[in-house]
Amino acid sequence: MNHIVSVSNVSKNYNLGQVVVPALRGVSLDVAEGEFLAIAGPSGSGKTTLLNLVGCVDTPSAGTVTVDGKQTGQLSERDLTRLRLHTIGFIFQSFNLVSVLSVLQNVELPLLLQRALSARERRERVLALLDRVGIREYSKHRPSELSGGQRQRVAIARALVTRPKLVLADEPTANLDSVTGTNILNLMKELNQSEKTTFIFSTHDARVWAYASAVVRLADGQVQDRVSAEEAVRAGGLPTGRPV
Amino acid sequence: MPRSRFLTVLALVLSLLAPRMAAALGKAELVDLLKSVDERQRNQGDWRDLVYIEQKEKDKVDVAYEALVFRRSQDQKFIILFTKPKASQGQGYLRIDKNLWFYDPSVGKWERRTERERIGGTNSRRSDFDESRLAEEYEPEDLGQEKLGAYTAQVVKLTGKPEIDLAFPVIKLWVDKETKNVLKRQEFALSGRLLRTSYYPRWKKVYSESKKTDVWYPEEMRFYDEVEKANSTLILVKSVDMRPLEPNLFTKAWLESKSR
Amino acid sequence: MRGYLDTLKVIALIALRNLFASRLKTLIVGGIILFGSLLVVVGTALVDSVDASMSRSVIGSVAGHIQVYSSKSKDELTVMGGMNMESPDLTPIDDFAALRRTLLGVPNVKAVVPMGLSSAIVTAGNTVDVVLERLRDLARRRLAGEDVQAAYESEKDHVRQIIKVLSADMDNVRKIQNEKAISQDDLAAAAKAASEELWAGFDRDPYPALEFLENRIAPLASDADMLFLRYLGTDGDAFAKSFDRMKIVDGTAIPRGQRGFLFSKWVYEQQVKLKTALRLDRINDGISKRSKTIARSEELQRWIKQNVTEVKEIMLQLDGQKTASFRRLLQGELGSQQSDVAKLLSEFFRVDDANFAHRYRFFYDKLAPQLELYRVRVGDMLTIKSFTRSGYVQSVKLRVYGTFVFEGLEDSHIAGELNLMDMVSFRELYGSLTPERAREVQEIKTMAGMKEVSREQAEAELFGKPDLGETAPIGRAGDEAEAVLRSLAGRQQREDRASQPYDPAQLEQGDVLNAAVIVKDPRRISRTIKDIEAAGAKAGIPLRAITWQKASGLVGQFVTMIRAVLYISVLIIFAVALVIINNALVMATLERMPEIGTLRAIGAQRRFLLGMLLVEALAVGVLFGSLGALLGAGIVGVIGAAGIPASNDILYFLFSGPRLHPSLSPANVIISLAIVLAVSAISSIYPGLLAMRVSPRQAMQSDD
Repeated sequence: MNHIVSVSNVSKNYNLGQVVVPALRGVSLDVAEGEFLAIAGPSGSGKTTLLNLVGCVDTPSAGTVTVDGKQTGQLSERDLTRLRLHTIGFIFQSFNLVSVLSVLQNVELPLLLQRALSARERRERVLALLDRVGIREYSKHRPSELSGGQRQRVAIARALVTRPKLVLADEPTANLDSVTGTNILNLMKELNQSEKTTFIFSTHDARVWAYASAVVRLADGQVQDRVSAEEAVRAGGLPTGRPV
Repeated sequence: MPRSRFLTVLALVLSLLAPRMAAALGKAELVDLLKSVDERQRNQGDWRDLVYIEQKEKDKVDVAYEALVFRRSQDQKFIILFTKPKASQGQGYLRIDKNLWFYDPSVGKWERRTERERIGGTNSRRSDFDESRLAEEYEPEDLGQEKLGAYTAQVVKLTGKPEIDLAFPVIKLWVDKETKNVLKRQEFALSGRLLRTSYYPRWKKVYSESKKTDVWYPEEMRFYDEVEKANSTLILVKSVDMRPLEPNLFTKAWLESKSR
Repeated sequence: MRGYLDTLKVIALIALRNLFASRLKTLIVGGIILFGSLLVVVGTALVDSVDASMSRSVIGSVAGHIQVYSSKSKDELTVMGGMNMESPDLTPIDDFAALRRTLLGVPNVKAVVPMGLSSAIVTAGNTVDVVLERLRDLARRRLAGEDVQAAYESEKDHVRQIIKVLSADMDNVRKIQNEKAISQDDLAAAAKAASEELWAGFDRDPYPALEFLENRIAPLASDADMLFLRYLGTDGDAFAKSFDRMKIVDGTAIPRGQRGFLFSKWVYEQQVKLKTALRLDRINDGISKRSKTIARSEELQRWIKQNVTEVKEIMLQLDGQKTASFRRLLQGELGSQQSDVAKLLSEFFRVDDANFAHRYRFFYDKLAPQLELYRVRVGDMLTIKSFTRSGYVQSVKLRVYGTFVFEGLEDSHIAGELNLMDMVSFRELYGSLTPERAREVQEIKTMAGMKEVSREQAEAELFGKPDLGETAPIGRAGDEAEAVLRSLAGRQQREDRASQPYDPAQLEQGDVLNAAVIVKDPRRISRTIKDIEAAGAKAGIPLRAITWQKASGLVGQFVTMIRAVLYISVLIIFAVALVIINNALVMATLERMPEIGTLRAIGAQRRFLLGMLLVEALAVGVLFGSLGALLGAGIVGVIGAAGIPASNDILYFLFSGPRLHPSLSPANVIISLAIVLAVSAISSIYPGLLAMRVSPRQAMQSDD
């Protein structure tokens, strides 16, 4: 089984002035291709830090993070950026769309950064994707003219437009009402199934776990356990203290 | 009593000052002093001498002239006629009444000049070559006594009388107490700016038939320019002759004739 | 790279949308840039035009393209605009012919004009002096048997008329002030001058009477005037050929091989013309050219007042016949019964806006023809006295051949202050120190036994021990004087030398102080300067060559100065712009941290962000910069069509005429845009660095 992500004994410390705050302490985690993995844990448990490391926007203080076969600690800033552009898609909690661009332009942006496709190809791919996430009719609109769910759909389209191997979603439903959140999760799951894209998302919302292929529970910067979605749901989201 | 003590102190101070005050000269005495300075140099007749003038200026070559000076006491007429160098030969100044004329034979032209004219471009004036007429031209004022090398000098401030065209409106004069010869002069502009310091170190006497006594004249005059500090002028007087001159000498026609 | 353009499009899109989103800020920044670029365009266009017109003025009048002088000179050469009286101290170049040969050997050199610059004060004497001098001359010629009887009688009559005027004047003063305002001596002198016995013997023996009049009467007139003349010694033909703006106004050019003097028309008008006439001209100028009115201009009123009170200058010019003629003319004109011509003149000059034009014409049509409008007339002899380089006084007498102007610069003081003289006379007045002269000075000093005493040592050395006063040996100055006077007698009077021609070859052979070089291609001046100095070194004539800008002294530096002021203001404006744009961009960056973080997270490289900010800054710069440049071009166009009037003398020279018509060159706009772009680019550096430091983690909003 191929691991798209492999986190091995990783620690991450943040320097806050004189004080060193450990955010992750000896975390190891392997993610297989095609997984729909949830990372759960209360605030301050290290979810976002782990996501940052996996998403190549940060490098570990100790241990190794391997993404798509590349050890991120050994890559330059440029290479990390390139890795993000070509291999990873991001979905953010507050959507993070470029407000001055239209929906279409927002989604097209990563393709432009890749500079691989012609204008026509880009357009076709973007429109197809917008169709797929159900907001094609809004392609000319500005993000500010859309609802929260629609915006997150735009964000999902943007994350998938480069056909990344890995999509990272940081609390994707936190800013959405429950119905919309469910729709978004359905969409993501659907895409995960159809495109075989690996999804990793952080969440502390127990409802989300139901969609996951597995749930990794974090507490105090350490992995508590890795359980199936059912187990996680049954446990009510509380780490059980059982070893992985 | 404080009041009487004050008066005592005042008296004491006054008595200390007394010798000075006693020595201070009255107006009449000062005028007499000037008159005797003039008188020693006066000739009461005709006069001619040969002068050499040298002008030194910063960053420039020296200028030197030989010239003849003619003067007549009775109507205060005066001529200076340059004889050397060649280029200046025949140029001259003529003073008649209150007029000072400059003549250049190369163009045959008379030019009206003032008493401030620098003779031949040097820092000397017409009055430096002429008879001393200080009592007539200036009002004196006592400035006390001063030592000047081996001499004791009476120092007098002279202020020009109004309506007289003078080279220098204010003069500070050092007169030798013994001989009444002028030793030193400082000449000022009306603004009080020092223009020139002059020294008269050597006095000579000649017997004058017309005056029936000796006439004194400074054989050497040194002028230090106080505006252009590097500049100085030297005048040497030689060969004084007091035989009568031609009656029509002090005319334009005569000076013109000397270069025709 | 097909994607580049699209990327750029996105960058531009984001940038422009951002600008639009913060419109107010953009407008403020843009406004500053607009003003800056407008200033650059208008400012540089104006300065360039002044530069061009001034260079025409300077090159076309005396400077030529290049001035050449000896590199051994102590001072630097300036041919015009020198504010001080002294001319620069230059070491003469001995052989002009060799210099000319050397210079003409340099490729770009077209013509060489020899020059020398100096100045002199010419004391003209007062009006009475001038008249008496003429009478003396006529009397001498009459006695020598020349046929000048008519002129002699007329001049004699004139003198007697002058005496009447002066006497009347004295009476007047006594009446207005008090009895003692005029001394008894002067009254007696005036009475004697008017007496019959003085004039009875005049024809037989005029000299005693003349001396009396010259010494006792002439000083009473006390209107002596001095002319301060700056003159250029040159080869008149070569000068006229090389400086073709020069035009003769009155008289003729100095004929080849003749000694002579040409007045600059400006100097001639300002300094030589009858003061009353000059003031009338100025009033006329004020009214016709500067639209002033007598009623409102204090300046004009002052001139009128001077004309009213200072009629003596005219009165002294009138002999009996002219006095009668003036009385008749003025009585007719004024409809007056007054018989006193002085009072009539005062009345005549008391003009107002209604009658000025008429009286101005009347003055020139009826009165002026009987007056000497100029103290020195064309054809007269002018005596110039100067101190030579060797320190002595040297005079030359020159015929005034005429007056000249530089076309287009007629009213300019700067172009008009130089008069012209033949080079041979110039050399005489300049009188370089020759070895003979130096030897002569040394001989005099040795003969006199001169000894130097320093100022510091003077008192100690001179008054160290008392001098008892010796008796001088019997003087023989009389005999020496006789000998000296004998040597003077027979010395040829050089009075008529002025009319003797000189061999034109003399022009070539003698020394010159400097030379003007006219080049074929003015764009290669700096190259030619190097070539000239090299050629000089090779020929053994150490030369310094300078551009016309340098040679024109303060005038030449004027444009440099304006340019400096302009550039400094531009610098300040753009420094402010830089700070403001920078601040705006920094604020925008800080506001957009999450967006920038997002862009970084989804794979935008740092340079993408840098590009984004750059485009943002450049867009504002280009848009408002072009707008400013366009507006500036429009303003220059409007000014260019209307022209800027030269309101004063200096501007007249700088504008090379009465109006400056500035024109726009592409360089003005290009410079403006280049500056704007540079400033925009520079101002985006810091916010760019800031943006580059934004971590992609910024995109993740979750706690941690």
